[in-house]
Amino acid sequence: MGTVRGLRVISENRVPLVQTQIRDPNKPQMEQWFELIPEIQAQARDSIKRQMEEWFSWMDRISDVHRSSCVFREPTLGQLAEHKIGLEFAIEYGRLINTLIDDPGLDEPDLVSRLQVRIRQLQDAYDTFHDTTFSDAQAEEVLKQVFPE
Amino acid sequence: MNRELEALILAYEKVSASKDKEAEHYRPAFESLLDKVMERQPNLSRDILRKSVIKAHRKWALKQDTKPPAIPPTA
Repeated sequence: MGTVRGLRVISENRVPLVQTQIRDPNKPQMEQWFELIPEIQAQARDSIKRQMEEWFSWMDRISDVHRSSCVFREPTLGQLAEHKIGLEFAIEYGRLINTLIDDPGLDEPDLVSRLQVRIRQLQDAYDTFHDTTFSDAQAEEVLKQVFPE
Repeated sequence: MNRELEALILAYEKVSASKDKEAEHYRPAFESLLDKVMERQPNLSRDILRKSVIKAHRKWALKQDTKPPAIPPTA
């Protein structure tokens, strides 16, 4: 616990929690509140970054399951059904989050790029097994034509 | 196996096996190999080529002796 720019820090994650009691009796209360805005913004930004790291970790675990259970091994029909549900959810939410963070106001191109890499990986994973518009037989035909033995 | 296809499969394996910035690093190499094929197959859809290679990667993966561990990921 300590203070940051006059604000008490009561969490271990270095995010200053805004206190309701204004401490400087010589300043008008409204002025003191407005001085807190940058701190509140920093707190929101930190919160978004932490949340993103959790999303990244969750998406990476989905990718691990995909590789170990469906790519390198033959999944059961039940596992394949779970695979489809999990990937649909991950891709849909990944895109929603992308809309939220791909904002010039947030200015976090690194986070956007890291998220987009994962969305692409998950979409590839989905298409490999669940894209009904392109079958394994069609892929075989393309490969035969493009890469003759 | 056709050498060009094998190179694509191995390049995709690097993309698929890697995470985060590492995946970002490997993806251009894979995409550039796709570009090379597209140069001589102008009537082919790039997306179709991409999906075909990824399906070929899966067939390749099933034949590998060394596989990622089949343990559930930690929460």
